[in-house]
Amino acid sequence: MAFTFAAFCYILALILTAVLIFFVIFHIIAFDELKTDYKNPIDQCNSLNPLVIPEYAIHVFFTVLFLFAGQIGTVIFNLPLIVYHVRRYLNRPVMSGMGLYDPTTIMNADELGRAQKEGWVKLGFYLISFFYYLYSMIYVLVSSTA
Amino acid sequence: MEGSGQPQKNPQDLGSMNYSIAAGQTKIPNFVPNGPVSGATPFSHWSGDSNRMQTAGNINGYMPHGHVSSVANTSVGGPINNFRQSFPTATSTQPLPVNGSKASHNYSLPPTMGPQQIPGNNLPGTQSRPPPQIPLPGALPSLSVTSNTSNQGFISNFDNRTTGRPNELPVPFHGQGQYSHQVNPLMQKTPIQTPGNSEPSSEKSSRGPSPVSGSTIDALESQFTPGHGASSPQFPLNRGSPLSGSPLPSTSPSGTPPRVSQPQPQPGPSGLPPRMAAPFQFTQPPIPGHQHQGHPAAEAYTAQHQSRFGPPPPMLASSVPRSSAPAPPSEMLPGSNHQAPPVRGSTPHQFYWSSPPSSSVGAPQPPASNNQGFSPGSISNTPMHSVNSNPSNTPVASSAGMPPVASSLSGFPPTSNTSKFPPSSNTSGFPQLSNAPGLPLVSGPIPAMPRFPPAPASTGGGLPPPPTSSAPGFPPAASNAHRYPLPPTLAYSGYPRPPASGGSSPLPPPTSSPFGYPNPPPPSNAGGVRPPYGSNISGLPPPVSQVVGQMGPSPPGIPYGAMPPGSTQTTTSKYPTPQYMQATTQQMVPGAYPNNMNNMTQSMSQLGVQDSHRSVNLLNERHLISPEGVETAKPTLPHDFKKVNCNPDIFRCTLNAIPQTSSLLNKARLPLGILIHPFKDLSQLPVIQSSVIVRCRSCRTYINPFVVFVDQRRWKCNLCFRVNELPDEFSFDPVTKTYGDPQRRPEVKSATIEFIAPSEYMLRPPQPAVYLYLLDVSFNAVETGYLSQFCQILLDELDKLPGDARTTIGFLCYDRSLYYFNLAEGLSQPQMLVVPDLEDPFLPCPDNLLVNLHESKELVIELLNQLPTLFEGNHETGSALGAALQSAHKLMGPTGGRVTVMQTCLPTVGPGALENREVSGDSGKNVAHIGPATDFYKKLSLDCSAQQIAVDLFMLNGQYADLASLSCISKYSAGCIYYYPSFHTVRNPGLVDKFDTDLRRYLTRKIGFESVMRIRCTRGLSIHTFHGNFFVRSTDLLSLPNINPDAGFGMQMSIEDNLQDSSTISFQAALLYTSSKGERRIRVHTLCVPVTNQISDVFAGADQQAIAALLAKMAVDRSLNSAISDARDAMMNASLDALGAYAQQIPSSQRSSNTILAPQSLRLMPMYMLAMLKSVAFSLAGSSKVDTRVFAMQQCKVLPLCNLVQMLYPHLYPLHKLSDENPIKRGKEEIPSAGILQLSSANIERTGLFLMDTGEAMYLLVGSAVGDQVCQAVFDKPNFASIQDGMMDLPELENPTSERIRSFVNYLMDSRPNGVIFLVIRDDSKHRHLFFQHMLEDRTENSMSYYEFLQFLQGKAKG
Repeated sequence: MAFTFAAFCYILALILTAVLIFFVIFHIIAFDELKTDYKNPIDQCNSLNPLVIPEYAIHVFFTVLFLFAGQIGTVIFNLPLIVYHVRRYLNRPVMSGMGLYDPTTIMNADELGRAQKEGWVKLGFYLISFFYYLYSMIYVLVSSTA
Repeated sequence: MEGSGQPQKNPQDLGSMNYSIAAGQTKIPNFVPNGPVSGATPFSHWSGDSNRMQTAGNINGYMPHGHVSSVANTSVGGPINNFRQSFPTATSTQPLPVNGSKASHNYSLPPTMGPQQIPGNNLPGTQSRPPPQIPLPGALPSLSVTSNTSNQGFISNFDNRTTGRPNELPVPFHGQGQYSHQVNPLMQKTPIQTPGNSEPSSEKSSRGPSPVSGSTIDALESQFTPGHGASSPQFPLNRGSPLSGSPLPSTSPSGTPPRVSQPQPQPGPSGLPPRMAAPFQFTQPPIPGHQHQGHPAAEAYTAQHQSRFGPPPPMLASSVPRSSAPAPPSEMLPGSNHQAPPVRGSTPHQFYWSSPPSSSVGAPQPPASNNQGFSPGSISNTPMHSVNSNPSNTPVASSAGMPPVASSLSGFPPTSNTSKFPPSSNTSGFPQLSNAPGLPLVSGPIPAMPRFPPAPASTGGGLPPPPTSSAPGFPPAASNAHRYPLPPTLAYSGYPRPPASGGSSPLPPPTSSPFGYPNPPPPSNAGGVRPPYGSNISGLPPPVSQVVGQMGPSPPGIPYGAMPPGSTQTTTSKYPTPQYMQATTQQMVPGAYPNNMNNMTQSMSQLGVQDSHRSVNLLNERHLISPEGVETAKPTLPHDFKKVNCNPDIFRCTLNAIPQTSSLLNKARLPLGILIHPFKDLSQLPVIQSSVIVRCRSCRTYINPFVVFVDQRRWKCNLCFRVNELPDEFSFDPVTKTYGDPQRRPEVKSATIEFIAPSEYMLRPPQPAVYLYLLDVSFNAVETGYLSQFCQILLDELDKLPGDARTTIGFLCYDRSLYYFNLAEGLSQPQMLVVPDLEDPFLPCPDNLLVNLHESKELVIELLNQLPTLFEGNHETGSALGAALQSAHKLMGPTGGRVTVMQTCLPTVGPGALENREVSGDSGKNVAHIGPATDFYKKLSLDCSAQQIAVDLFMLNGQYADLASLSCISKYSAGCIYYYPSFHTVRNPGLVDKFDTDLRRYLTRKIGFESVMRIRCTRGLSIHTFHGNFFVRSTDLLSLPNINPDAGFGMQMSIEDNLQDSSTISFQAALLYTSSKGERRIRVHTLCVPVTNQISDVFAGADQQAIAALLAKMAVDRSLNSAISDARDAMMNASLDALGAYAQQIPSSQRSSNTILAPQSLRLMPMYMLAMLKSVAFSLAGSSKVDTRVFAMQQCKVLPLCNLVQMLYPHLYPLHKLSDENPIKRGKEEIPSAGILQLSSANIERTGLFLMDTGEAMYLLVGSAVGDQVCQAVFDKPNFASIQDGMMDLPELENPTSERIRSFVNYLMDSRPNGVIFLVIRDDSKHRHLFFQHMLEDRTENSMSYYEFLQFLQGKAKG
């Protein structure tokens, strides 16, 4: 059992994915609050927007690490989400600050629905990734022993 | 003091300015004896900031500081007046205390400060100040009016205060003195002799303020506590702190108030007011009965805001139980400060309500609310509950007690106060209705809805199939001849009928003819009626040849020549009065509503249900619009609702039969939505002043005519179906003084009603009317000459500005610098203060930039007289609109109000500077150019919205000014936008009249402040998207800092659940606003629509106008989000899909390959879609400018339905056929009318006069063969050739023809809220296109004719 770079990547990705899961849960809760009138959209956007780039960055970060570690399968697994993130960010509304969410349009039912759907899908994706990384980590650790 | 002694600085020299200020600041502590704590208070929160910011805090912080102490003292037991006093004066950024520590700090002020706060000194605006040229940083002048204080008293008191505390005196001066330095030398120029103001252009028609905007009740004004600043829950913006702006106190070493979050980085010298620094504990009012009065509001407030702001501060949590109620009191949030920390909101209320009984000031006594320990869930029930259950707490002494007592809408005399607020509201606390002669509360005159029996679903299919002879091409004249001559009774749309059948029945219901060709019986109608279709068929002829012909200069014989010269006799005389027309166009005419409702219902019932299920083959049917105009679709309610539904001009649903399931809706392929014009001027509106407003306990719906009374004591909500108790008061009839049937109540009799809201609906005392005018004075602006016109109009209308004694006004001019005007009362002339610093705009003096209109009236008048000359010859081309708006935001922040911007060019300097994005020839086809370039204006707009500021834009630019970006400032702050392309007082006189009318109307129309609108709908429906100018604060709540009577809104709805619970569904729009008189009012509209599970009913109930309007709004969104071409495709698909879906559901036997079948109710849909495709907003063919397109799109979003439809499909009247037969009645006057023609050149005759009315413009086309007598009679010219092209008015001639035409034109002009451009166009004029571009059914080089469009649709439908 040798602690390879790939194993390190998986461990790191495991932790970061846990972080991402928290992010996405926050995201889901936030939009749920919006939908149920608990929160003011301005405040909600102000709290959501700063998290967008970090989330994307974390995801890109460990994907790049996987690339360096030669885990091409894992990279391909993550690639669609990266592409989606980039596209999403390029098509964001005109904003001076960071982020995606515009308080003036966020209350549109389409936008809300999309954001909520996105949250759930991402939560699923990150959960799957989490277990996938866990499995891969063990696999890498075990296989490198052999 | 040193500062004031310094020589004048160059105003541009910021450094020195700062320095001098800073110097002043360092001095202050020496002058301040009142202890370290209080001394520190105002400064502390600035302390982390720059030198300049400290100064800013200092200068204005100082004075208020004294007031803070006064607050403290009075709250401990001092006279109430001190509160009052302190409210208005508190205009700087002292934050409210957020916890006990801060409060105690405040109360630790040296006792010596208390006595100086003389109870009476509460007329801040009237202060005199020792050195006349230096204004004291006084209170917000207009805010306080208390009944027991005279101006004199105040002045002396004020002196008392200043002299009584000598140590304090210098400091305010100090600040001021320094600032007086910054005044540009230009300022010295201000004392200029009054310039000769240019006369305002004469009004085309007299148009008074809205009929309802009515009466002042001065006696009541004393009820309104002045306290804006202080008691308002408006606080420093903490937009900066993303997560919450959590009110948790930060322990600042100086013991200063924990700064919740710094508002703007640089608050400026007069930033925001110090807030009432009082904790809950101190606000215990003297009488026990009052003890909990603060709570409902406070708690509601917390409830509202806690959810937004995260955890409440500990202290708050203990004193006010945190509410976890899921639904916060819905309309409770006038303050709507997203950033407001909870506690603050509550604090002011404590003060506000806790007036000791001794005070005759009349602090609004809220109906005492009962339980201190509101259970969390109970909040939403407070309004009615608290009033009921604890009425005895209401002090008897509160004669002026309740908040705003009716200044009832149209002159209701308020009944005496005492009777309104009986001491014990349980027994006699019946709702007091404002009764006035002539304005019955109970809207009796509104006639009952015509009750259409639900039409059998089968009728739609039971129609005779269209004759196949009408196949591909167009029926040749010959075939027409045998088919058209229908007996008169068959004529549906009232096309020329023989005189015999003329006036008998307004709209004879078509009995059979499926294509009800409303044709004249040809043979006998030689003189009076049009020739049969064959001859002037060009609208729908064999497409190519004829249509092309229309474009040319009217080949003789086809369009124009069809009518023999002698036939100018009116055909319209054959029909009855356009009943619908009255209903739809007379909106502004007082008294129109009830009458027209009658007419309309009659006509509707005559139109009959038979119609609604009829199919129309669009390819054959050419006369789709009857001369009376398009009928207004109304929902057919079941029998047991013998009630009046909401006026369709106010509230409409696109489908008057709601599909039961979303799958049925999808099958019908029609958009579901509502269109609402909530603040429309009404001639009759029941106003209710009631101690209890009955609302559903679970969904907060207001009781309305469509609820079901389970028994005498209970009612079932029609939105959520909960069964509610009925309060005793509700069955009390104030007229007969008996208890009885609750159905007699106006709430249950009228679908539109207005309540005067009790205190539960206020988060702060109602704000005064505050108006700030931002005037562009750059080179470009001066060149257009608008300034003198604006000033003159404002001078004329100054007395008519809606408002009360507290009305506040201010002016701010800008080019590359900002020019403030100090209008402090007592100055000999307005003082101009120039601030050239744009990056960090600050207010040059803390007060008196916004002044009480009544107290400083002379100065305002003088300023308006001077303004035009003051900037004459200004060569500065830059425009710092962004900075000016930021300053305006800062200036108005504490109160909210209305900012009016006059902008003539692209803002090029300072924050918010924009670049020219217009590419020649692009005309906004590029999506990026119709969207904003920056979010600066959007963000600022949201900040404004949070502070209850609305920004209205008047765009007077000739060049590109990036309206797409600028409009954001109005869009999200619920402002309105006017656009006058290439405005110039000399070169473009047509617009001058329009500007004049618009501006007069704008200045004097009714206005509602700090308002919110909530849309509720029956369970199962939900709001999908909102359209209009507002900020959406939650799923069903719109934040509208201002509401004006010309704003319309649209909402797309979606069906979430099956709607089988009930046979009807209802929408309720509740608009809570503060009237200009300082009353809190709720206007409630309820619309009830039946539910159906038959698709044929859905089609029969479709409202084509509403659908077109909603589609236009959706198309704007589509254009902005993807592309205009997408939006165009969507429009075409919309009509295609709807007609396709309709065709699907009718029996195949009726279908044939050569028909386009449409239900009668949707027969105009393709026409409207074509009109939209050709409109400025969505046309890809024209070469309109980007700004024009953006404005047109904006109009699509905000215009009320009928105006929008008219904009899309203008009205065309044959003026030569004015008929007296069915005159329009306006007062005693009878105005001849003309029927509406369809927009096809086929309807244009060379011998006639035609008026095209687009809503914004009227073009009078003079046919080239018009008779000489007509020329003489109407234009005072011997013949056609001598008529001057481009006349902008009709000469006033003393002959019947001229008088009739003018009265009709004036009637049309008066029946709209805005001004119009009027232009006479000769048939051979080069401006001819202005008229003919609106001929929507014609073909142009790059657009289809209506017939081609139909064929196109048909082709697409076939695949």
